[in-house]
Amino acid sequence: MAVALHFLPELIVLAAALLVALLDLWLERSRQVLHWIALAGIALGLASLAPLALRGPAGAEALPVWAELWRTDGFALFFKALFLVSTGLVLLADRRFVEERRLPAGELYAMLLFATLGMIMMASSHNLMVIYIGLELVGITGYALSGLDKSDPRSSEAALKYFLLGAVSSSILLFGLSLVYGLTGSLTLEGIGRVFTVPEGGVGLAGMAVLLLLVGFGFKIAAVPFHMWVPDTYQGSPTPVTAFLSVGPKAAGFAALLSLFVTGLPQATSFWRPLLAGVAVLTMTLGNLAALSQTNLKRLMGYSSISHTGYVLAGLAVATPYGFRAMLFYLAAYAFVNLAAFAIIIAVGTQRQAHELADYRGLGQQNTFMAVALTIFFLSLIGIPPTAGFFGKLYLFGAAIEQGYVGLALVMVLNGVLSVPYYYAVIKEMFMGSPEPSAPPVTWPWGVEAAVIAGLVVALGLGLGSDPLLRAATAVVNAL
Amino acid sequence: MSEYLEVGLFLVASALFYAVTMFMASLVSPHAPTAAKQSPYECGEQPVGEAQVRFGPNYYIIALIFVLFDVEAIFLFPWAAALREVGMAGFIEMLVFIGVLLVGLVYAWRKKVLSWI
Amino acid sequence: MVPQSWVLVFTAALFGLGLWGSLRATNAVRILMGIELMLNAINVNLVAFNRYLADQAGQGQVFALFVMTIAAAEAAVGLAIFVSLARSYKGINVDKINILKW
Repeated sequence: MAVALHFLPELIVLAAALLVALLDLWLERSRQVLHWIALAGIALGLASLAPLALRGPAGAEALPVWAELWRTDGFALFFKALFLVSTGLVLLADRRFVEERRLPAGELYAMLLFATLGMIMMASSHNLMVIYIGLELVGITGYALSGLDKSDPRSSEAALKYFLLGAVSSSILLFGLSLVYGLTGSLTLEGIGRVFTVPEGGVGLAGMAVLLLLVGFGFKIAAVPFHMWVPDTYQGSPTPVTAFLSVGPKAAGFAALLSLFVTGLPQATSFWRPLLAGVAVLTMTLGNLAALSQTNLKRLMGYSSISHTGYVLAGLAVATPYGFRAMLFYLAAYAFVNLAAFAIIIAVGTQRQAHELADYRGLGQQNTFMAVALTIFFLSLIGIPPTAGFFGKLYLFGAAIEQGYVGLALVMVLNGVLSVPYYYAVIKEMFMGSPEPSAPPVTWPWGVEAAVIAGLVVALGLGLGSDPLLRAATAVVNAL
Repeated sequence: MSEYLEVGLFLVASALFYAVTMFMASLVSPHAPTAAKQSPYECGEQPVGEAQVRFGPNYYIIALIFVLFDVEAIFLFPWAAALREVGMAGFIEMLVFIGVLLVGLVYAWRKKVLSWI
Repeated sequence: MVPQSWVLVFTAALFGLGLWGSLRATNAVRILMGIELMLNAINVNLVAFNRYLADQAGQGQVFALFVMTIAAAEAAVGLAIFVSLARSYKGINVDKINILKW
C-alpha cells in the first residue's frame, strides 16, 4: 500500500476519466452527473496529495525501487496541486457553456481528465520516457479538445493548426531526447545530469540536442518564435478549452522543462542560459506588441499568454534558486488569475456568442461585480500592486538583478508598461461605454462565480501577503 | 565489410535478373490488345464505374480504431517474454492495461462505430 | 558492425527529409507522412544507440516501442481531425484553411 500511495492521484484521475467516458455512453440525458464525477475525481486527487505532503518539508521520500523513475517530492506535489486546481477551475466554469453549445460533455470531461493525468504524471517522472508519454498524453488530448465543436469550422481549423505544429514539435523534441540518450546512455534525469556536458562553443551533437529540446519545448509552452499556432488555436477552440490550454499544457511544459534542464542538464547551464534569456526577451516583447492591435478577446488573451510565457522563461534563464522560486510563484499566480479571467470570458461568450471587445461594452453597468473582478484580474496580469501578479514580477525582477541580468530586468519592466494599453482597452469598454440595447444582461452560473471568487482570493490574498506561496516555492526549489 | 559486399552483389544481381527477364518477355511475347484485355481485372466481372471512388467515412473510423488496437498489442509481446521475471505485479499491471483498452473498445462499440452500415 | 557515425548520418538525413516534407507540403496527410518519417528516424536512433551502448536494460528499445504506439495514437487523432475538417472545408489543403487569420 505504501507504494500505491505514490501513484494514488494518477490512479484516481484515471479512474474518474474512465468512469466519465463509460457513463457518458448510458447517461446521455444527465450530463450533470458526469460533471460531478469529474469534479469529484479532481477533488479526490487533490485530497490524495495530502498524506504525501504531510511527510515534511522535504516532501515524501522517493520510492526506493524507482528512485530514478518516479518521485513524489515537493516539486512533484507543487505541480500536481497546481494542475489539479487548474483543471478544477476549468470544470467549474464550463458547465453552462457546454449545455448552451451542445458540446459532447462526456468527451470534454473525460479528455480534460486524461490531459490532467498526463500533466500530473509528468510532474513526478524523472525518466525521459515517462516525461515523453505524459507530454504526448497532454498534447493528443489537447488536439482533440480544441476540435471538439464539430459544428464550428473554426474549431476544426484550430485543431488542425494545433495538431500539425504540435506533432512536428514533439518529433523535434523527441529527436533531441534520443540524442541525449545516445550521448549519456541513460534515460533518467539523474543519470543524464552526471554525464551530459556541452563543449565550449556549443558545437557537436550535445549542443544540437539542447537546441532541439529548446525548439520542441518552445512550441509546447508557446515561446516566440514557435508561437504561430497560439492565436488561431486560442481563438478557434471552444472557450473552456482555450482556458485550459492557456494554463494546463503550458504549466506542464514548464514543469518538464524545469526538471529536465535543472536536474538533467545542469552542466550545460552556461550554454542554455543565454539562449533562454534571448527567447524570453523576444517572447515577452513580441507577445505584448502583437496583443496591442487585437480586437478579439480570446486572441488577445492568446498573445497575452505568450508574453507571460516570456516572464516565466526569464525566471528559468536566470538559473538560480531565486529565479526558479520566482518562476514557480509567477506560474501559480498566473494560473489562478488567468483561469478566473477566462471564467468571466466563458460566461460572457455563452450569452453573447462572440468575443469582440464591443461585446464587453457597458458590462460595468450591467454587472458591476464581474466587471470589477475582471479589472482586478487584468491589473494582476499587468502587475500592479496590491495583486499577486505584482509580486510575481517583483520576484522575477529581483532574481534577475541579483544575478546581474540588468538588461533582462529592464526588458521586464518595459514590457509591464507595454502591456497596459491592451488590458486597459477592455477595462475602458466595460466601464466607459453604455451597453447595447440589444445586448442581454449576462447571468452568472454558480460555477463561474466560484472560479471568480477563487481567483479573487488568490489575486488579492497573495497581493496582500505573498508569504505562504513564496515559502512553498522555496521549499520546492530547495528539494530540486 | 565483406558481408555488405555480398548484399550489394545480391541486389545488383536481382535487379539485373528482373530487367533481363522483362526485356526478353517484351521481345518474345505477341502484342495484340483488345478492349476486354485492357480492362481492369475484377475476378471475371465486368468493371463498373471508376476505380477511384470515395469510401464512406465509416471505413476511416474503423481503420483508425484498428490501427490503435493493433499497435497496442506491441506491449503484449515483451510482457509475455518477461512474464516470469515481472511476476504477479507485472501480471496485474497488464490486466489494468488491457482493462483500459477494453473500456476503449466498449466506448467504440456503444458509439456504433463497429456496426456495419 | 556498422560504424556509429553512419547511423547518425542516416537518421539525421531521414529526420531532415521528414521535417522538410512536413514543412513544405500543403496537403495535411502529406504533412502527417513527414511526421511519421521523423518518428522513424527517432526509432532507428533509439534502437541503434541501445546497441552501441550495450544497454542491458534495453531502455532504447522499450522507448522505441512507446514511440510507435504514441505515433499511432497521434496519427489517429490527426486523421480524425482531418475527417472533420474535410466536411466543412471540402478538402484538407492547409493553404485553403484560413477563416482565422494565419
